[in-house]
Amino acid sequence: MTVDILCRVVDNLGDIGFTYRLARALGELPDAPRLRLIVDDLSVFTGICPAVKADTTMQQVEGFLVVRRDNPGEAALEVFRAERPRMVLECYACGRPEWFEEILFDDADPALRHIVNLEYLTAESWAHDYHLLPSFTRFPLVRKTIFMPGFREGTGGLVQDKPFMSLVEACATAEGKRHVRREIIQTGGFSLSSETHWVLVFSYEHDFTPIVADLATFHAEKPILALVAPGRSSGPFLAAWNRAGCPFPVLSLPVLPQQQWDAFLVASDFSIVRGEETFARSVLAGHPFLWQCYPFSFGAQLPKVHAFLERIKPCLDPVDYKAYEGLTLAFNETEPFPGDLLAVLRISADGFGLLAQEVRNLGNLAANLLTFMRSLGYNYS
Amino acid sequence: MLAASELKVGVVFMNGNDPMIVQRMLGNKSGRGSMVFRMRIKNIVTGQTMDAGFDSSEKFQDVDLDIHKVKLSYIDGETYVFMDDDTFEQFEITKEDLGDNGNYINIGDEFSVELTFYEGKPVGIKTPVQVTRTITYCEPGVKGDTSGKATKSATLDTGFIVQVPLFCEIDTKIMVDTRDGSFTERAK
Repeated sequence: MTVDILCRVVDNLGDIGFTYRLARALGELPDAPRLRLIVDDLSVFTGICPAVKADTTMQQVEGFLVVRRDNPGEAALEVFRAERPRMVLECYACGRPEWFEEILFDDADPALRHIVNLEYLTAESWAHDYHLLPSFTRFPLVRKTIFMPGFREGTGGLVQDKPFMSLVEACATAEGKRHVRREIIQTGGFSLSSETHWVLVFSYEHDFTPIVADLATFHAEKPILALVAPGRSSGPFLAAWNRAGCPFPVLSLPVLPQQQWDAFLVASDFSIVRGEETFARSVLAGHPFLWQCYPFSFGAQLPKVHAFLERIKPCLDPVDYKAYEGLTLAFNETEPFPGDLLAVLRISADGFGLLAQEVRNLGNLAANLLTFMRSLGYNYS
Repeated sequence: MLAASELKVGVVFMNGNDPMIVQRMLGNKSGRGSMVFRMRIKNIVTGQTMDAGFDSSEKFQDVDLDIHKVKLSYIDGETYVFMDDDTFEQFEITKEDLGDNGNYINIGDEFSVELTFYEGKPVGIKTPVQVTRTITYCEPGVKGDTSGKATKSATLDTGFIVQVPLFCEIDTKIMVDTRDGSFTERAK
């Protein structure tokens, strides 16, 4: 079976990060399909996968064929005409480029083909209702299905690629985490302490003044190191940190290859994360985190935030949950930010570990997806 | 071509050789920017219904349909009888085939609806995007609350239940959006 994965980079590294990890996770499965990744912004892909050459229209990378989405070149078109798309994964309903559309919807092609629309991650209950919902295209031989990632039974779960899950397993004990941190420091050549409380910062823009104040107070109890990832939160965070007189150590991270970034994420003690991709991985990592949902106009992100809080509520001690709920809602509101990060930094990681275990038990999204694709019963030779 | 975002109850589109009509809007949800719709659709030829999801990127072949402007004349059990505005000819259609649009029409309505015909057979109606309806039951109104943020259930003169702001009372005329059954505003 050959599977074509379509990706459009909309929001920094999240879309391509999901696509890359999905491809890796599919490639790890027994009897894995051949994979062709069609990506619009290869320069972003290069950031997390340095083997990708941003100026090459078609290339083999880690066993995948990577093709530029816009102007892929005649050689790539020939490849797709010779082996026509039969199973297509549209990541986050990203649509299809015209050249691909022409081949896919060629009405002279008598074979069945199938598109799976991999929707955005949400904890809302409708994810269950929409998962595996049949859909339509304008041509009856091109069928379509909606596939929902999720945190509950009846959804497709989350991507659990082996390199990432190995890191999670390694960091499950204090000694294992120290070992992973030492490896990060050695291989990356970073000058930082492996013994401090690592706080990863990778969210959207925000007024970080109260966050920095709480981190500074916590730093007096337990020395912290803030790992500030590049992106929309780094400027506002560093500005607040400077205004506060640089009260704790900070390391500004560069854009890191996926494996290195994953190691920082998993080996951290606390993360401030955003969107879908780092959010999903923070859930799987099983340590406490603060999530900033992609901000919609008119506060439309709040149902998604409330749904996640409902999901994690049974996993947390009621007092801890109260603090966590208050902080999460405050961080996702557009109003001034009164949340109590200090209280959340002090809560036990056990509840987050429980949520991680429950979500892992839903199975690997890649395996669930492949099982679904095979269940369609087409002859994808 | 019809964009998926143009699909609403009563709209007919082609799936290969099969004309499909949207009967119910079961939900519309947004991810990051794009919408995904869940609808109950019916194959007009076979009568088979199914729930399906549509993301806003897809386009569909629309269908040439005969359309008559009609008003609801009377209801006989599960059968709705409409009268043509111009010819006074009467047409029957089942409540099931009206789908959700049956929630927004009643005998004596001043507005007309479009009765759509496929191969000479009435298959559904298209309603205006907004219709005026009267509340026949709701809990007493709360004076002073005009924010519309808090809502309560209200039964319309069609029997359909919608969420309305607290200030609404029995006999209040309201505008209802027929795409999703939401309260729009108090009718002027």
